[in-house]
Amino acid sequence: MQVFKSYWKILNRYKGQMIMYLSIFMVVLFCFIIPNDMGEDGENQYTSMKAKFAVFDYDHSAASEALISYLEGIHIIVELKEDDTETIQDELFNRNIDCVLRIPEGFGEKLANGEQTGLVEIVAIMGTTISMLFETDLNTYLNFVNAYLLAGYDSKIAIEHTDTALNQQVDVRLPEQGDTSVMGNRYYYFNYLGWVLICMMVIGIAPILMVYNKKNLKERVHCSAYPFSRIHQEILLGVVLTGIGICAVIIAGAVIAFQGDVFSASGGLYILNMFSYMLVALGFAFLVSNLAANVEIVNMFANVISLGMAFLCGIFVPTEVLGKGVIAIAHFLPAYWYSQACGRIEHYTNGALGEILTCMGIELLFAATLVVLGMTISRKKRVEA
Amino acid sequence: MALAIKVSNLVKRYKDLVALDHFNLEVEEGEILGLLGPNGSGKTTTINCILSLLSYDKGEILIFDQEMKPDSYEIKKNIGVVMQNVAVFDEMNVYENIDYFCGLYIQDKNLRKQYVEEAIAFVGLEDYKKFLPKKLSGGLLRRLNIACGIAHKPKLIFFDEPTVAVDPQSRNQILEGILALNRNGATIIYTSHYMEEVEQICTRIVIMDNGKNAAVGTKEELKKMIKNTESISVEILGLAQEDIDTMKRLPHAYSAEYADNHLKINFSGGKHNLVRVLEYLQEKNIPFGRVYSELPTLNDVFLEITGKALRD
Repeated sequence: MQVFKSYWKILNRYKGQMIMYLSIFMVVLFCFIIPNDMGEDGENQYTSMKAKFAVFDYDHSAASEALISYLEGIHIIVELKEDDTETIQDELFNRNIDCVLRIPEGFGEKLANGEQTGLVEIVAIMGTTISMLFETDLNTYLNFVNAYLLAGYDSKIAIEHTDTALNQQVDVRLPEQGDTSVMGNRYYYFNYLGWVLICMMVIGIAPILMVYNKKNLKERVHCSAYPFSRIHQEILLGVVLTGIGICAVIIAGAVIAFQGDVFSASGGLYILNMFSYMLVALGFAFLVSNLAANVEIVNMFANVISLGMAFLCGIFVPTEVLGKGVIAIAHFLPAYWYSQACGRIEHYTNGALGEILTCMGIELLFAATLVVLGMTISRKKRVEA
Repeated sequence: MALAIKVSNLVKRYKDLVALDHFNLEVEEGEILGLLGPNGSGKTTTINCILSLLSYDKGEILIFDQEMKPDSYEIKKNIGVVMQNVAVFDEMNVYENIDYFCGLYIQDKNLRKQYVEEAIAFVGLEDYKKFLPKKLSGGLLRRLNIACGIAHKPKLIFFDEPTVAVDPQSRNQILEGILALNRNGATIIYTSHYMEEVEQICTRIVIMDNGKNAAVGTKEELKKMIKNTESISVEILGLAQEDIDTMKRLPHAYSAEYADNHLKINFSGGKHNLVRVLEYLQEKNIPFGRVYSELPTLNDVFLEITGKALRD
């Protein structure tokens, strides 16, 4: 196993960049993506917050009741029996309420007269986001009423128009293709591999293969008593084991991040898809090793291929927002099929298995094509030499 | 004496170019055979065909009486190759490189360890075992290249210009090493552009030209093949054409040329040629400076046989 052992010694010299890319991937996922909302649907991240507030209305006017009614619609009203400083402080300290709104007598009259300051009092914990949100909503309401009053409406109509205006909802729909608008973190974890696997394998493996392809070394090895087939088998074994090792690290990361989800049917499909794509990445590494003249050019190839595919194939940018022309081109790139498989696996049902396996099959065809292309170039270069 | 290599009627074509034209070669076991030839004469093609790195169109190659083919791994176990260009892994240190190449022949771990240590000692790299190749000087790198080729103790070793770009001290060490390998029983095929090296170490020489075997023999035999037996050179400030013509007519002289204040007369056989030249100069009262009398060198042999200088 002389060639196999030498493979690991050479890999040892090139492992730095592989580890760097894997570390960047893991750090980004574990520090920025997964902690945001581990295991929950992405749409929950956009639910607006509601403040718990108590209100003491000393005006009892139509205007004060309309204001309370509006705020009650968008925040949570909590009943407090006494307007007592100590009680309020206790409730705030215990986070039973986020703020207290005190509407003094004469509020309706002042509002109708166009006064803008000192209309209400707010007691809140200073600097909290939720109390600021409450104040913003309150000010928005008062500004709207004031604007209608300035426009010549009487206070009753102004309050009605304000209610109508602020209760209007804009219907926002995310572009959908199946259910891909709602993706879990597991999807993002595996989908981003479409970029990082290509980078790691091309930068890590191609320089090693280039070492064995050096004319002088190749001739010296071919003069030896070591059979050709065994040389190639041992290099192949090293490359495949490197791929499996990287996959094992990624699976370990997924187990830490998603626990039992990895051992589900969809988790298994994600892993299977990752292995298929790993073969594509190794195919690219083999092709680049036959194309590149030196390590700098390998780095260039790695970045162009991985980033190019990541942007065109739905890894960095969802396919829903890509143009039809771009998607048509993406069909000819393996990362597109990898990303499509990830999307389908995320919402896996038994019926979708065929589609998922088709995507993986196409990835394997790409891997085989890359290897054949690499072998053709290698043969051509050998004949020319 | 048994033959280490027998090449018969070897023909190798690159499209329209005939690189080897019915080339024949016999190398006896235990000899150091020098393979000489100008660039493009077919030396490297010959070696590559013998080593099965290149396929050939016609002919037969036997090594130790067995036909050499790309998968003749039993024969290859007895062959060592030291390439013209340094062929080592930049990513592995000196010890690891030698161990790697030795391991392509020797599977036994303990024996290999012993061979690697011996090879390191042989080329004098004991203090550089942990050095990466890029940290070695040109001479040390050449020594590493040699150690990688000979660590498995082959019976037949090819040295393809192993002293190119090597300082004189390292060159002498390499040549002494090759002689030591030969004394230990290895048959050596040595190609070089340096005539003096070939003269110094080779027991027999093959001169190749245009893919053919132009001449074969010991250096003495080769020198006898050519017309020139002695060249006399005299430093003279001004010489009449009449004197040059007279020199040409001296017994055994076949050419006389005067250029840059130097008279050069070539002789084919005869004794006391130098005495006759000096007597003539004295008789004519022609003042002269330094005088040289040179026996033919391999370079003269090469020049006369191939019609071109070795580095053409």
